[in-house]
Amino acid sequence: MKGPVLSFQGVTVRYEPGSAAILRALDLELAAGERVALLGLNGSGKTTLLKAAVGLLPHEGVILVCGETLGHSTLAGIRARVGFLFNQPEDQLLFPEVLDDVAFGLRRQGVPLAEARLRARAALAALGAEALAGQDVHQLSHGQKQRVALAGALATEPELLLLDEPSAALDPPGRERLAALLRGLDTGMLMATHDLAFAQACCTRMLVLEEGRLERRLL
Amino acid sequence: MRLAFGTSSGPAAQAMPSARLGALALLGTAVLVADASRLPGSLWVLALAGLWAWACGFPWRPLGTVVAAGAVTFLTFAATLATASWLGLGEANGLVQAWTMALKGTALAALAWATLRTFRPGALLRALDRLPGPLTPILTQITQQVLNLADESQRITQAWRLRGAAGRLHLGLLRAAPLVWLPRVAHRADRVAEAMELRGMPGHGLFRDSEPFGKREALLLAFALLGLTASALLRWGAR
Repeated sequence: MKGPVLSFQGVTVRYEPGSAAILRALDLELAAGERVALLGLNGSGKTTLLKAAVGLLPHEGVILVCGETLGHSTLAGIRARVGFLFNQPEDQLLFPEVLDDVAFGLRRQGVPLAEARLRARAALAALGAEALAGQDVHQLSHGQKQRVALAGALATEPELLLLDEPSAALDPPGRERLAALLRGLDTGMLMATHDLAFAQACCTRMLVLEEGRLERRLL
Repeated sequence: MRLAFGTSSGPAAQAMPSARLGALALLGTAVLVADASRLPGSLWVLALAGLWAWACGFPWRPLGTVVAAGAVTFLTFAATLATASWLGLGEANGLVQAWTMALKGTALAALAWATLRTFRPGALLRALDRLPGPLTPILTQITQQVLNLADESQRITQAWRLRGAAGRLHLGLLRAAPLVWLPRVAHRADRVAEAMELRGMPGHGLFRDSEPFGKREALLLAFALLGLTASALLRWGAR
């Protein structure tokens, strides 16, 4: 697509009306295919920014996702085009079996069950997690859950990826594999992370968020 | 007491998960319907619970624990009813009512526990997810999150022990427990709700592909249906 895949124009986010702003009149633009790391101290607003981008938090200002203005009427369509990784992966694993969870987004798009499962296996294989396909989500380690959640986000081939600490629970080979995989995608991607080495390995640009504002631009 | 998911392996445990849950529902109804105020009805309830426990491969020792737990749970209620009846304050057949309630409650607990022990957690969730009905996605999520919370509670307990809470009663710790645990539960519920919203749940039925329904499943359900019919006949056929 032409134009930015994600755009924040003077966006302010508060958890409660009248409370202190977590994001303050923030401007941000992410071009299609661009991979951007969002750095910042704990509590600087990284997760809030990602959640605001998919309408999980109320905002003032304008947010454009995949060319559409984020609002009540566009919310479902936008969410279907975005892959999202929560920083607590087990919260987003909603099915008892790994393969069903990864295939869920595809099934929502109307992909037939057999094909959805094939593509889900491929997404797991791309993350080195094909062996997890038949396992119970409940019995996975934290790192394995993170891979499964990532596979679910990638399986639908979204136009925009929003990843909250994607490398946090991965072992070094897993991090390298994920970095290589993300480098090979032509999907727009915004990633909140504290892992500088990982960010350098797979991102084309880095932004620093400080007290709800984008203060510095690296790279 | 540990639930010991997936440790039983009787003949019923080999049947497909939804057939086991279906049989449990039918047998539970049979126990509720049975007229346990008469000797044949009481014997029938005992026979149903015993047969199902055997079919599920429920070991005798935990079965004894269920019976003991059931007796303790219903003892207070039974004793109150019996005393009221003896003093002429309650209904004349208070003792019979107490017996009926204690027997049925214990039998239902035994049926449920015996069935749950035949499932690994994932298999139980899959079986729930594949049952028809509009509420099953919510039921599945509740069960899934209860299992996650059980894991989390175990981690909290381990951390407390490591930090010196083992060996003696720490009242301060006990007071703090709900303050630590309840907000965690509330936050988790919030986060799961966000994820469900974002991922477009409920997506009920998207994975409900056909499971092999064979002789074993047919026999199991026929047995349970027979149990329910016999209970109904014992109760209403005799009148």
